[in-house]
Amino acid sequence: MEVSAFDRDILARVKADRRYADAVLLHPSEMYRLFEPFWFQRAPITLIESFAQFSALAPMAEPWPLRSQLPARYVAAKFYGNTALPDTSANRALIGQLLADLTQHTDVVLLNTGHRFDDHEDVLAPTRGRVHTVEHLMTPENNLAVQTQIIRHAAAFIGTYGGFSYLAPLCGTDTLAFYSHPTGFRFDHLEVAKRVFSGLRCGAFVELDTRALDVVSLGLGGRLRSTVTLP
Amino acid sequence: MSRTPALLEVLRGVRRPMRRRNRERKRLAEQAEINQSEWQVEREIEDLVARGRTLVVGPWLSEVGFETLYWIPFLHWLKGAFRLDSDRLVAVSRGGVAGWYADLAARYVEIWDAMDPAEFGRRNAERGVTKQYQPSALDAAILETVAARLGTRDFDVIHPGLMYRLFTLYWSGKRAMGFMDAHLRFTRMTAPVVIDPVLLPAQYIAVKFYAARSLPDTPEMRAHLRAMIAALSARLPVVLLDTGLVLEDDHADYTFAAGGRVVTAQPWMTPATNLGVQTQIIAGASAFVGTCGSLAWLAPRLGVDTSALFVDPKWLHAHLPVAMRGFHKLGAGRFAVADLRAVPNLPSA
Repeated sequence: MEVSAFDRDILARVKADRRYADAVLLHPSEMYRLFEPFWFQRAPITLIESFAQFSALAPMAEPWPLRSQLPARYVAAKFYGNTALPDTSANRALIGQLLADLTQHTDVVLLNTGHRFDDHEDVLAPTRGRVHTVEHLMTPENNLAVQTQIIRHAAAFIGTYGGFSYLAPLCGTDTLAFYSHPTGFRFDHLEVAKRVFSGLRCGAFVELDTRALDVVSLGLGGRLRSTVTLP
Repeated sequence: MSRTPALLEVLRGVRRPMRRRNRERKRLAEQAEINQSEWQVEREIEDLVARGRTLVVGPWLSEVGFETLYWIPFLHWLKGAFRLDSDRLVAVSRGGVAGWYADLAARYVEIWDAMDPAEFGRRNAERGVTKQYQPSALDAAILETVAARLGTRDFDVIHPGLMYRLFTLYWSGKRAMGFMDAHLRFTRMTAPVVIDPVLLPAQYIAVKFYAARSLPDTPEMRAHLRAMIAALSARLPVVLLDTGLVLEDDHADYTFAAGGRVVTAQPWMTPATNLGVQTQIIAGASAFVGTCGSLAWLAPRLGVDTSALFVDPKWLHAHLPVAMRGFHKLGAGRFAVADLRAVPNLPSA
């Protein structure tokens, strides 16, 4: 919410490196201050709509050299523990089962980075057969760009509800995001996401409560069984 | 005269603060209008309450979903905020829902006791709108029967239009979620016994699928829902809550064949009791699965774990956060939404 010493240090280095002597700063704290009334339930969603313009992400450079190192057709997956999908044994079992089920039909590219870049621990999923890892294709400097490209070239994205699940639809990739603790995230973020993605119609965005997965799986003929509500 | 970039920049510098002031003035005017709308409704409610007379709450003529998600929690807020005694309140609705109002009002008037459901349906359709923003001729006719039942005209009416006018501010994006938090109280509910419980399996899943814009009636959807019911019945007996009637709103139930471990509740329902019977069946179920809306907003308040299905979230944007927040804070039955676009070969609406 404010410009920290860390920000200032980064800014000083960028200014020196790029010779941005005259540049003025538009810091993320301005956005946080502007949107805070919405997050605190004091302003309606129109506040966000008034000060944000959503669009699909612009294409990145093509041809993409790393494309040849990926399967011809795959689903990108990124599961990590957060407050919405905590790293519990039940969720690990569910993710393992999801991936196992997916590999019956397609290759899966796991976006686990092997590095810790934020406050989430990547859930280590079993890597066998058609499950591919891509840690060797990434460096800390390019990891997000590479993951974005992998998602863009994927047939679909599946993962934890949160950051990357918001990115995938903007890349034009249909997205299935899971949560198991509805109290572990803010409904207002979800409301914004659903409005934005259904309006943009670039990639579909479907969020699923793992407790509802049982019902959805029944719609699939009961192929998938989860640890959920139904007796 | 050619304008140089420098001159343009000067002009922009002059215009910018003017534009900003205009924008701010416009926004203040909008805010003032919104505040006036809100305060007007609040004043009307305060005036009605201050008169000290019996308060008729209703008549409720529109959709079950708005009644369960908004109207009843709104009345609980109203009752708490103005410290109203149950003895002062008379609830008026239809379909045998006395139980929904049991903690609110000491008296309940069933609309269909005095008016045939078919006539009600016809006259309700003549109103031309589903929502009750204004009292209609039908409201007036029903209030006449209420007066006859109460034996007096000495009462005031908390009409659903007050709630619709107030909450439109939120549905149209002019008020924040905090506004809804401030005007809704979700409470646990118990279901009165309407039918003999021995009619029901010892353990079962209650299922209610109706066609809505969020779950449209297509052959693919029917096939998936049919398969889902079959799969559910392999787990536990299923009690279908389709009434076979279109009575109270614009949603028609999906009708699926009963047989084996799938039981239909149709024989146990009359128009005048249908919602009360469905409520009892849901309350006794191990889980509830149904279209997101209507009774899916009620089941968690009965303490029943609920899976609410939809395929087009566009029609649920404003309502889902209210439901999710309300039910999670209440901590009764779990409320989980299932977006069926996750199911292959089900096109989004």
